Amino acid sequence: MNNAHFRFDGIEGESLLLSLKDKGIAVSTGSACSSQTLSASHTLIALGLLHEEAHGSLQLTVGRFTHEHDIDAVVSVLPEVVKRLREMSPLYKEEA
Amino acid sequence: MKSTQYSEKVLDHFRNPRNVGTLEGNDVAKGTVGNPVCGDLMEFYIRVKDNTIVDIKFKTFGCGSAIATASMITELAKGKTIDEALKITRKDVADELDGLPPIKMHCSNLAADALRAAITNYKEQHKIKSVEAKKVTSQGAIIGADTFLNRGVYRTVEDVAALKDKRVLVLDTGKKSVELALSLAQQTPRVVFVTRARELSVTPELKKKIKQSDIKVLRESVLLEIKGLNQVEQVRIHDQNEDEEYDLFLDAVILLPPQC
Repeated sequence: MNNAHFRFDGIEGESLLLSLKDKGIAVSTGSACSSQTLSASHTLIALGLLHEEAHGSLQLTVGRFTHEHDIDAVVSVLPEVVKRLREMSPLYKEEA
Repeated sequence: MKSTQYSEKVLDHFRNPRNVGTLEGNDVAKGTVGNPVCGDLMEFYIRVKDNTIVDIKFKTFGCGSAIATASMITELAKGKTIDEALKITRKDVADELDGLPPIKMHCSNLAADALRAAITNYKEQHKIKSVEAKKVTSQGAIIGADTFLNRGVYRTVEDVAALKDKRVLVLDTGKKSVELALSLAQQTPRVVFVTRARELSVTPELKKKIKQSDIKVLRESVLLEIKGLNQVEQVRIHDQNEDEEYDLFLDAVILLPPQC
């Protein structure tokens, strides 16, 4: 298995994908907005996720040419990307 | 990859969105549209002084173009009077952003609808009467939909045969509405299917079935109002492509709960 699946409450996958793309990281998402049909990934729905949760999914794939420092790079930028999008989201409420 | 279809302006507003946040106060109104289940939710806040939008903020859960269109429309609306701002169309937003990919035009609707919802709510709170304001309620709802419920407007259809030979409008609320339109077409030759989209987002198989049926599909169209005396007689449709409004005579309007 070379795919890892993540999900972030309160943010939408295509925004996540675009933000990471800006950082030079190519990912994929089950978000409706990145599909032709604008519906959430039926695989994720079948796994029991709510639609709004499936829209926030992020799939990271490692390949033969992925180095450990590539993974470190993702880990170092992901929190700020998620934080920025959550600050814009009406759905995400910070735990007090 | 889809994102490459975005213009530089869209990407700029996505990367550096203007006017993100919320507002509070007696002179503030809020408008919310969208549905997180469908992957988008937009909130607009406006502060109005002397009928002018002096401050505006938004929050959005949505894709890149949802963020960009919301940001853009805050810039367009700020400093305008509420009546001027009501006239901002999705096309204005898309044009200002140097265009949007066709499948994303939906998002610019959402931003324009959310702004209109905020303005409408402001007018309601401050008892400002306006014909224009009646057109959009807080959820971008259709005028008359509640008034004529079960008097020509139906949220479910148990028995399609009951609508035999009637003039029926089905609003696009997803795949189920398309399937319903197809089964109604077996009962009556006069089925109209109204969709905001340019292309129906259904399987090629369903598309083919629609093409082969007698269903008249009104693309890029919005159902604005349902009219009649005691029951549904007419509807008003806005053709967004031509920017034209017109009436259709009908017996029934089917509004299934929204899917995506």
